[in-house]
Amino acid sequence: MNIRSTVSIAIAAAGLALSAASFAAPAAAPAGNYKVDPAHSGAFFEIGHMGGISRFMARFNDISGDLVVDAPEKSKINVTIKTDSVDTNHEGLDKHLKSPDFFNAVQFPTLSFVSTGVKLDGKGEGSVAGNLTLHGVTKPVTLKLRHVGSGKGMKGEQRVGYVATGTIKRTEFGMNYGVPGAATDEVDLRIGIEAIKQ
Amino acid sequence: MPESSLMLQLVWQSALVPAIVALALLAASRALRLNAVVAVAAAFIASYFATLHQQWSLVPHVALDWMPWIAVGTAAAALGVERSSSGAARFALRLVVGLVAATIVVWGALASLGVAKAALAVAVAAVLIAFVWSAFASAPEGGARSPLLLAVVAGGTGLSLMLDSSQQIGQLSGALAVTLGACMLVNLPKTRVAFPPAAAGLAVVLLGALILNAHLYAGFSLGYVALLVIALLADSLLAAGVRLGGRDLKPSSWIPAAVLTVIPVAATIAMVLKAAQEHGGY
Repeated sequence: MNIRSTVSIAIAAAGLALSAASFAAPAAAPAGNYKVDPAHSGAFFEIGHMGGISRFMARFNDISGDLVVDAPEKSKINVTIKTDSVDTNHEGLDKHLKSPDFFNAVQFPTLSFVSTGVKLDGKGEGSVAGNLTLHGVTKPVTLKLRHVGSGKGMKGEQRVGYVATGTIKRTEFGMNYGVPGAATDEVDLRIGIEAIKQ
Repeated sequence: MPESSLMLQLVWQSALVPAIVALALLAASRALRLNAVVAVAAAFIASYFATLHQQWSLVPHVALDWMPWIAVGTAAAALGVERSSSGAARFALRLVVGLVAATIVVWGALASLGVAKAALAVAVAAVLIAFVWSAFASAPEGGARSPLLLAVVAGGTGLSLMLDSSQQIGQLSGALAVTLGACMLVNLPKTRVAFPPAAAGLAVVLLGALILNAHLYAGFSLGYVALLVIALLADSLLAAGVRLGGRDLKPSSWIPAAVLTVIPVAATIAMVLKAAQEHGGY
């Protein structure tokens, strides 16, 4: 076996190992208390415009919170988002979304999610049930949860990542204006969290 | 599927409903011995519920939930205020009504504003409401003049808000404008149903509460608010100018008063349109 064939086999083996790793369950996150890293976390929503002509996405730029990572039944997620940080990349639309027609950001400066139960299987997929407080109304919701991964950061700190997705009806939270003519009732949520172990 | 009835819904809620209710009550006012204040309150409340019935809460949850209560309370209070024989007492009572209405509107923003800013907002709004109400109460008699001027400002406010910040508050301002327009129409060419100071007071308090809502909760700028206040005071400024010249303002002077009122309202709309274009035409 010459050097060229040895290198080829090594590359193929490394490729196989990498591809296997990409389909495997993420490494279990070390248990502990974590703080949401706002630089690498984001809350997004997608909604239909004018009864469904199109769908547009927006994000909240100010997200904070804490995680307790443990066995699923002992894990907790607590996230707070400032409604004033809504960002559609359009100043006029941002202003409208912050108004009493939608988030009413002055009267309800934050929205929050506090988990009441986490379920995750061996592949890192499951759900998180909790209370969502939006527009001053608190309702139980269940979101799909995926453990994305965990590992060490640049400074050796332990990091963990999750994505929660789901659909809510805004009318259930008292955001009735313009349903469905201005914007649809159903709103898709996607919350990506990276948290740092404390 | 696109919602093609959005505009029709808007016309129904903010134009047809208040117009029908106001005209019906004004037409029956003689037979039922109704003051125009009842027509203004009922038409505004009818439009409010046509627009916001799905989210309204008997125990108010958001600041706008208070608007029907403000309408009913102010209508009753205004009738009492205008029975007072003393001018100073009437002004003081108008100030009290303004303080109550402004406090109710500001309450929901207390946590965000802080006590000092909230108190300042209440005080400034109450004083402005009292002054504007007094200005319309002392305007020359004539059933169409005051509702016309108030309708111009309410309509301009509604259009500005629809373009700038909150469609809900804009719709309610538009409904108030239509209501006042109905009060004007029934008094053309001659007065049939008087538009007394109490009715003007109710319209001023409702418009003041809506503008305060828009400024505090929807980012409607102070510059626009100042222009609209100037528009509301234009008639009394004209009257003061005429009095300085040693004459009295006659009911027929509504044309210069209307022109003076339209100028700051048109300036507000133009500025809102310019800002909207600069923001990408939203």
